[in-house]
Amino acid sequence: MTTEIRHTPAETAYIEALAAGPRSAGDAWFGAERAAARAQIADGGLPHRRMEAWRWTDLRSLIDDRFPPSEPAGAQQDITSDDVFKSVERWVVAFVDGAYRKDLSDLPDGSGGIELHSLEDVLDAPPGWLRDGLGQAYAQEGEPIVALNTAFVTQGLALRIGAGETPAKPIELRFFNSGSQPQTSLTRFAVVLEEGAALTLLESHTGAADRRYVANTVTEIHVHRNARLQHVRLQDESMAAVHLSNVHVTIEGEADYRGFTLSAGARVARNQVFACLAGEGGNVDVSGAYLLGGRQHCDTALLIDHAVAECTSDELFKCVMDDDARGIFQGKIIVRPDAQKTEGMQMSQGLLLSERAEFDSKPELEIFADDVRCTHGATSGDLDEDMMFYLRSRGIPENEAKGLLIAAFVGEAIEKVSNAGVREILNAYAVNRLNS
Amino acid sequence: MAAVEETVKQVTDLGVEQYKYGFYTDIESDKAPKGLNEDIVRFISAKKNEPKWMLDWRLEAYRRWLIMEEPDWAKVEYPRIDFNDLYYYSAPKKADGPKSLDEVDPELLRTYEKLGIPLKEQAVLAGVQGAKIAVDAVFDSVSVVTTFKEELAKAGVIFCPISEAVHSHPELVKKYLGTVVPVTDNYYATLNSAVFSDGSFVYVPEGVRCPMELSTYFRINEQQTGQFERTLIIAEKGAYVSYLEGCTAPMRDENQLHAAVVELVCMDDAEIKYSTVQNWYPGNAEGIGGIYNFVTKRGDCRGANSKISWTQVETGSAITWKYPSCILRGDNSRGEFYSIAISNGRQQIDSGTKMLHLGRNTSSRIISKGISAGKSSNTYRGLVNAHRKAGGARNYTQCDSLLIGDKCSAHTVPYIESKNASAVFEHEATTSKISDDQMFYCRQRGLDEEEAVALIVNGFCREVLQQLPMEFAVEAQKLVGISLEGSVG
Repeated sequence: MTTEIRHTPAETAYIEALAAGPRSAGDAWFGAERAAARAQIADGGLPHRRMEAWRWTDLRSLIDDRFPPSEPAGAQQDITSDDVFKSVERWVVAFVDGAYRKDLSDLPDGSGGIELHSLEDVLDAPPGWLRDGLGQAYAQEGEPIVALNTAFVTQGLALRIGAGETPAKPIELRFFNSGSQPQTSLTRFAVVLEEGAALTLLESHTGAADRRYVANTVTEIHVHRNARLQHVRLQDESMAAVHLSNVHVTIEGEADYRGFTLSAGARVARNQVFACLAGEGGNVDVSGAYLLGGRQHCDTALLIDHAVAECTSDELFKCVMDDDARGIFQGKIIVRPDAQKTEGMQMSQGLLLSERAEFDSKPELEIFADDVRCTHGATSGDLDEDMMFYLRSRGIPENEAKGLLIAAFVGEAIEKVSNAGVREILNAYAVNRLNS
Repeated sequence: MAAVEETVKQVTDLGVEQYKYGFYTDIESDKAPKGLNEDIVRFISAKKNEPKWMLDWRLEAYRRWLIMEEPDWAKVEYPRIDFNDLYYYSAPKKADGPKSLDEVDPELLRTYEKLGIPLKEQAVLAGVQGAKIAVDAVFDSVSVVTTFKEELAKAGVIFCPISEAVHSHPELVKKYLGTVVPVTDNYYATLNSAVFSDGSFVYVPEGVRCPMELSTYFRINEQQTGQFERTLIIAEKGAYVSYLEGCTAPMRDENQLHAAVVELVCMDDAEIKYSTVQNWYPGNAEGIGGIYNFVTKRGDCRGANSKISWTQVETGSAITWKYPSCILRGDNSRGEFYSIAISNGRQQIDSGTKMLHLGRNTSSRIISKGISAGKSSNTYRGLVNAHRKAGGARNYTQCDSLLIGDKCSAHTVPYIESKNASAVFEHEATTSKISDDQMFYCRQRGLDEEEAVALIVNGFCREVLQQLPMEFAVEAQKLVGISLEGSVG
């Protein structure tokens, strides 16, 4: 007896979009992957809780309406009020409703070895360096939400920093969703740091208050030998939105990738990071903080793959959940058979501020080499009574004491951001959010 | 230095033998036809002369099992089991049940003597003076003898094979059987419910502290025979019982299935301590043969202030799939899980625990030590969950893995779910190898490589070994040494 799978409205919308025919941009060389991704969407739909990686985030029930893929024409929108990194001097590449907006961007002037293309322009005839780098993400993981992106995406950016170059300013990818109609904004990024290059890449994700939309981004990053990338993301989507982000990083020998994500917005957020340490002496640090309230749901899924020897990885997640919020952390470290002398550390901590909040974690180690040092820790609880007592006994009112402790809790993760200006913005952002 | 000498002596004493319980006893046995169908279930039930309600229970389980699917989420690999190519019942032949030890087949007695299990009441476990242990010996599908029954009965403790309890205490069996591990709990538990043949039944009445350690010794002897034992332990209000379980099997080229179910019920203020030294035949170095050990063990802390403690030393079996769990239902109840899992050769272990915090102020502690050597794979898989109403729940988990050699693997898969703000959960895990410094220190003091490893490993496991009743601690410590033989150099 076979039971027929009933598609949810969201799945139906995607499947209908598939029927509308393939999107042209990129089909020339991206075609095989795109066809496989389309088949997967038609076949499997959205991920659900019977899939191990999605046991706590059932997108079939969490995305409860039709959100067809966006057409590449963003709404006319003033997005200056949402400029979260205002005080940092940087270049900006703007995307509104999933469409690249040159008019709202402040593009680099070509100095500092920066090469930048709108994906739309280059997808049909990509430069060599892009051809190798882009599109691998789906082939490797077969992830359902990467499939969604691969099947429909036409917008995005290809960014390359030349060998040995360090741009004078950070580059910000700025995302704004107007939610003027329920839709899925899909964007894709290829970021390549050539040997010895260094860059700070910022991302801000915001949206019109309480508007419903789905934002789906896939970023493929290749950090070549000796290069360094600091990647800071601030996610403050509309409280009715669904945010699905995927970062795929390959780290070559002696290279460094430091990623940090502050998750404050969105009704449902899922951050996936797949980091592969592919050259000896590589380092990866993936950290983050959650500030959740109401009925928010935020899930981070990490996969740190130590493919070669002598690499280090470090993850720290500090998650604050209030009201009915639910925070989830799933981190997996794989140490491959020849990856000797690996050091892997992982820590996830949940702070529950309300009786109804929930924190689930699954820190996983999969180790096939013997000369390694890997540890993980996970804790969950409410504010420490002794600490509260200490502050109260020194005359600090309850609310203030609470605020101090929470800010300090989250601050430990924000400390990981090395750019001082950006760190200050994140700290201020967190304190501001906690006070409201 | 005493500890060092002891370890060194144990390792040398044990010589080169890899698995010393691998002999086969040639004893005439009474078997059910090969295969599994309703008739086999009826056959087993009839052999035990069971009442109708028991048969119906089995048949219901069998029908459910037919539509269930074999679980595949564990990190173990094995060829598909042909459930129709197994004997589900095998018993040593006998005219009538033995009335006393003197009537037991001497061949069987010799087997247990060889295994070091005292079946004579005056006998004591090797190396331990003055300790009394009541033993229930299960040989293939039946219990052959239970010792110290009378002395226990004086204290009001019921300790007998479960097949006997179905007749002598049907009201208790009916009341508790399947209430902790429901018939349809999982594939192997359901299979067990349909075809279980024997196992131990323990009932400790209110306020009684069981006067001696209880123990069951499982032996698989026959070829192509699965062992499906079922154990049910009930501790009434304020009672205490400590129960030990041991197991061995002959060395064979084929894989044999062992699918047991253990249920513990703990009422107000009661405590059950359950210890296992699992030493089934692990297969040879190339991974040929060995027992598939698919076991469901669960304890239910039903009453307030109750406590269940699981201690396990897992050294045997080709595949271990086992998650002794605690349901902490009563307020202030406590669950503990102490485990040493050692894998060598091509053994695969996927083991861990579940702590389900339902009541208020419940606490649990998990200490798991995994040691992998050779080409083995060793996984800790655990769940700690606090229900919405489990205010004040507390858990501490520590999972350490030790890797010996570069062909083995160690995995840790914990799930931590907290639905209550006042629940405090802490989880720590580490994976490392024996450090060169430790080895150098030992070698410098004249220990050879293997002795040094045994010493360091014993230290690594100490926290768990300490939890074992003394009678077992000695055996377990030796086992740790043997299991790792040949893993270095």
